[in-house]
Amino acid sequence: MITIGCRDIAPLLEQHAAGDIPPLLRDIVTGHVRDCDRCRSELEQWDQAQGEIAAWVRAAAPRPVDPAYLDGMAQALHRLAASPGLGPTRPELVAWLGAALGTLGSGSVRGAAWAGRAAARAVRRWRSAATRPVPRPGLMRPIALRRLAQRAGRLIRKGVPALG
Amino acid sequence: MDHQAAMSEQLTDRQIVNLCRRGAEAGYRALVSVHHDYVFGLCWRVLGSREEALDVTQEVFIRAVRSMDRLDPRPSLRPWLRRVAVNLSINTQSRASWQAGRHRSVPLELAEGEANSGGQSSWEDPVARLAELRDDLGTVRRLLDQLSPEQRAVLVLHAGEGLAYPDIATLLGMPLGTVKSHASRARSFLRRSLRRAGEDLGL
Repeated sequence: MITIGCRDIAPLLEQHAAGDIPPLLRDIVTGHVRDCDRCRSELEQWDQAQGEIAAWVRAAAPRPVDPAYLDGMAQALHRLAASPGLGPTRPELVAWLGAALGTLGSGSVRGAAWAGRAAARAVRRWRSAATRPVPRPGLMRPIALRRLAQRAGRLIRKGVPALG
Repeated sequence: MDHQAAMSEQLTDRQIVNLCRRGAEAGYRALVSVHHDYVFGLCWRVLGSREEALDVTQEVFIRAVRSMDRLDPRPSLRPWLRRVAVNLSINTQSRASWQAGRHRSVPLELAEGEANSGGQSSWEDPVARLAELRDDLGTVRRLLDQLSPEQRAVLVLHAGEGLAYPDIATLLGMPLGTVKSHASRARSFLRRSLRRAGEDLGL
């Protein structure tokens, strides 16, 4: 007959508290701690730690953000989406390429050339937009301004060379 | 704005994405109105800093705008936002720790307390310190701040978001064993520290 001692149970206590234990092992641990004060005390400590984490994660929340900030952010995101830096969207690309192929199929050489050039420009803009960092819109958090101020501060500390 | 916010919150994610794809400003207002608090709260729990969380939240929404054509709003945008927010938070905090040469050692209460009380730290006052130690949530918060970003993220996703370990492993792009190891180390540290805090207070 297999006897299960505290040494076997100890590694399972944490899993039991976290609820990450197979049902069979859970029953074994539950049965053991019913009769063992030491393991019961250990399990209570694990349960407490788990409970504290869960309570903090559920209860803790940052101070709400100013609605005006959210409003500015939404406007800035809208401007960002509409800015040419992002290039054409994928559906626009597909539409242009489709138009190019359609015109080519219809037999109009000049039309096909125009649509082909437009599609090539779109692909170039899309590729460069995908690899270029997105410019921060003006109303969003002024990270760039903060960095500029830090750089200016460093310059002032070093001593700005006299102009002129 | 209140009326607009109320209207925004009635929209489904699919409607919001469709509005955004059509370039309607109402879509972006709804996107921010419905999801900002969730993303900000998640980043704040992983990062522990309000300023950093606001920066990362902004970055998440910029990425959402850039990926608008590829976003799948069914059944919800939340999984996509959660994945980007948590991974960006981990990367941000790892980078900051690496640049500082160590994990942030300033307690969260201290950082926010200074902002609210003009730099007066409660840690200089033993009575206030005792009161803070008695405040369980405050103690847990301070202890969580000493964990690595990955450990915090795993705890937040497991205890707060209710995700199972395999889902967390997929979300973070880590092996399942690593995720469980992060969770186990974090819980062990918290258990030891809570026991020590209890002993210090004679509890």
